[in-house]
Amino acid sequence: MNGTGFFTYQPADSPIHALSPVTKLVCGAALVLVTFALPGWGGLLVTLGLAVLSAFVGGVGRSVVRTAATVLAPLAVGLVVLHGLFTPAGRVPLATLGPLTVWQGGLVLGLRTLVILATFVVVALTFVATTHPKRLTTALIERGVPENVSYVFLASLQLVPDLQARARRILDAQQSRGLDVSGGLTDRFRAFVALASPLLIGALVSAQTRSLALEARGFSGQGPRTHLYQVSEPPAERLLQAFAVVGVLVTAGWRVLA
Amino acid sequence: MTTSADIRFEGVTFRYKSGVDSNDSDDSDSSSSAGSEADSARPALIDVDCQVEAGTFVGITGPSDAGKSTFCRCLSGFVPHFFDGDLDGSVSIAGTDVPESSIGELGETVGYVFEDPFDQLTGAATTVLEEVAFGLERIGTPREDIEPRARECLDRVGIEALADRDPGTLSGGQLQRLAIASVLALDPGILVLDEPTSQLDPAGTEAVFDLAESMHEAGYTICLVSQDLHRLAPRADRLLVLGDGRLRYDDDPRTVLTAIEEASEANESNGSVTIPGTLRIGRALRERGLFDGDLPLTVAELEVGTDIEALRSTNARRASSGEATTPAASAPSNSAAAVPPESESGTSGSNTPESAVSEANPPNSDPSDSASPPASASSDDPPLIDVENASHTYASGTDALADVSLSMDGGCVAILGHNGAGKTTLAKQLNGLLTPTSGTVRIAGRDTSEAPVARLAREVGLCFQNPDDQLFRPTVESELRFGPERLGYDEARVDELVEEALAVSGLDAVRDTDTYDLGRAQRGRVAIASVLAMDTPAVVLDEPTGGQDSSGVSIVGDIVDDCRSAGRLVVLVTHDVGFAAEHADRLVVLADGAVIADGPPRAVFDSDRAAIERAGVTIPVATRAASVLGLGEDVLSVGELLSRLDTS
Repeated sequence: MNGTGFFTYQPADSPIHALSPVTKLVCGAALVLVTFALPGWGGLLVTLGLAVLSAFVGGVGRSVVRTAATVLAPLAVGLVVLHGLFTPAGRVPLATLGPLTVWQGGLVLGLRTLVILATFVVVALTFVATTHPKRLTTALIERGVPENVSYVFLASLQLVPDLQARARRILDAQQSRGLDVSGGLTDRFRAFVALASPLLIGALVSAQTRSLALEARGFSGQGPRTHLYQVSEPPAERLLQAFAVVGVLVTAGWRVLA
Repeated sequence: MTTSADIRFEGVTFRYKSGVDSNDSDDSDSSSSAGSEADSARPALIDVDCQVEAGTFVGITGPSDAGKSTFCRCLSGFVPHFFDGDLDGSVSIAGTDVPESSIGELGETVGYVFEDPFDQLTGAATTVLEEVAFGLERIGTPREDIEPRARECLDRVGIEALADRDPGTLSGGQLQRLAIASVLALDPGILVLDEPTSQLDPAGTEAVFDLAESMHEAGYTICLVSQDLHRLAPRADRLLVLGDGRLRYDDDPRTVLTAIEEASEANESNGSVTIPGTLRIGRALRERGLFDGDLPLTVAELEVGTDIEALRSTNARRASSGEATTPAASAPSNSAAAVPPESESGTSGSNTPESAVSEANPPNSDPSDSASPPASASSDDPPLIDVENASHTYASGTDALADVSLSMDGGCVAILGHNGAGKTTLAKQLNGLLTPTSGTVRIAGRDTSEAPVARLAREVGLCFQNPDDQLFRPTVESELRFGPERLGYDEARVDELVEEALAVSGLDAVRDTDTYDLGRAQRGRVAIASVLAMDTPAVVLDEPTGGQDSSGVSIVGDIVDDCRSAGRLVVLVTHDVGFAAEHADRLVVLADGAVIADGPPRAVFDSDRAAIERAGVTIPVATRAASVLGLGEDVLSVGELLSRLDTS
């Protein structure tokens, strides 16, 4: 997490940081897809373990696990409780309390879904924490993603904390003029209007200044572009990408045949 | 640097199309200085002829809505390519017609630095280095050259050490230097800086002006817009003064300012340009045969040109013949000049903050200050604002306030200090937006930790620096009604308060205007007026003179004086030390969250000046000038200095 409360890139010198963003993207996606295809608990836990292991190898394990736990805790309650009570798969009751029955099949399904989700969340957080955004967009541009799309991606990463900070300033200013933001529905509606209007106008003014500055720095120029960072993909990484793709295909094929 | 470039304006008139405007500039198609409907049809530039040779440092100044930003936008091609309107005449850069070139093409010749330090960044860079590299990537610079060139540009603006920092963590001054490095990367011959320091503290401002000067020495053509003529005039080769869209003056700064000063004396000027105090002082000395040479733009020039020995001997002769009074006694009464000599010696003899504090409590204790507000109703009443051993540590771990104790009950208190010294944190404590992490803050006896902000807003109105964080209603009048309506005043009283606030803020003529059709200076005054209309016993104004021209500063000064005389407490959070010296009864200097000086302006300026300047407080020009001329250490304004001159 950074100071704004958002989970962001954490610079470090680790083997996971050193991987090309594309390699991480392919391997991460493969790991999540394989998790979906694996039937038993053993495979599921191995993939989750691999995801967690990569986070720790990347030196971001603690923050990834902490954030993943924060994200997954409410989902865990929902998944296990809802599936346990309302998915009577196999019709084997585990316990009954008055009108409520906890079904073994539902409970297992809830836990499986949770492990799959946990793998996805850990992989995604590890990717974010170990992948420099600018290197990611450079790699994507070299794979054919338009420059403007990559700019929008990078700018959007900063937009939310910027708007959050601006909203805080506006709320402070309006409260200082007697606006009550803790009252009933009418007060809250008034507060919303007093917040939304300057927020929107301020964002538009900022966008105007930014677009002028970008234009003056050649944003719309038509000539060839270059990039500050070189994102290399050594042969070993290309092999790893191929291995990941084959792994997904083999697992999927095995599931279909089985 | 690319080819040296001439700038040519020939008969340039530009009128914005209706609805096209920029809220971050001083120029508005529908906002003249008066802001009246009649003026909305006035072009932003009218028949401007001007030629600038390559390598010239051009200072551009003038009142709000004079056309300064539009002039700059013509250089970068923003006018007419981005801002739609009718352009007559011809603008060319190095022989290239601006309307015939794209903004991107012109960007390789003209680097443009905006007023807002943050909004002009790409918003897509995670490090300072990436920000500078952005333009280089866009023009196809070979990869191996990008980083060295970006680092070289950062080195030229003095922030190479920050290359790996997140731009969001830089100060305003560092951000402006980053913006300059970013445009330097494209190797332009011309740098246009449109009010680049209006949102910076004195240290950041000085750094940006010094950088502009060094770029000029390196051969760049500099076009710098600023109201800060104390810093601009000594550095510029030429000074352009715009007014109502016309180029009013175009000559070397000394000649221009002398002409404006003379026109002002003859009541032929609207007084919307702040003449450096040294010029007025030099002129007064010259009239007395004590100054030789060109009128001075700096205190150093004043010192060199003045026959100080003759001035001192005149002083001594008059003193011995009984003609002269003491400097303090001869000063105008409303400037607290009657600090007795004993007091002066007492203060100068103990150059510690504590001594200033001891002289300052209770506030407004300066016995000579005829403008002092009435004391609180009864000595038994709690002070309006009572800060007791307050400290504040943010969740990030930053210690913003350290054991601050202040008591404020009336008059005008100015809080000074560097950015990051804790001024805004302290201001937010004064209406409960923040509560101390240790210690207490009481407003009219009520602990702020136990009262909602909406309740405390009845006692303390707080106006923030950026009016755009505050204004949201369709017209100026409806904006002013918001606060008093929230406080529950009846309709008649709201009407009365709004009328008073409109009148004192000089906004009556624009009461029905959309606030976003006004220039930034007027929007700033709308924000102040909207807080004044709440009729709170205390008003806290954060950088009230920011973005104001000379007449705007004068109006804000009147507002402060009106509040004081009405018995309201005014707390100024400001970098404008000259304004504070003129209007405040008491200065509180913060450094690293702690109070390092607290007392009447004279006592503070006469205490440890080095410590005060380290805390980001620039000693006013008049105070420094009086000091080098031997006219005392406690002069606060040019008027007071001239008055002492008359009696010396």
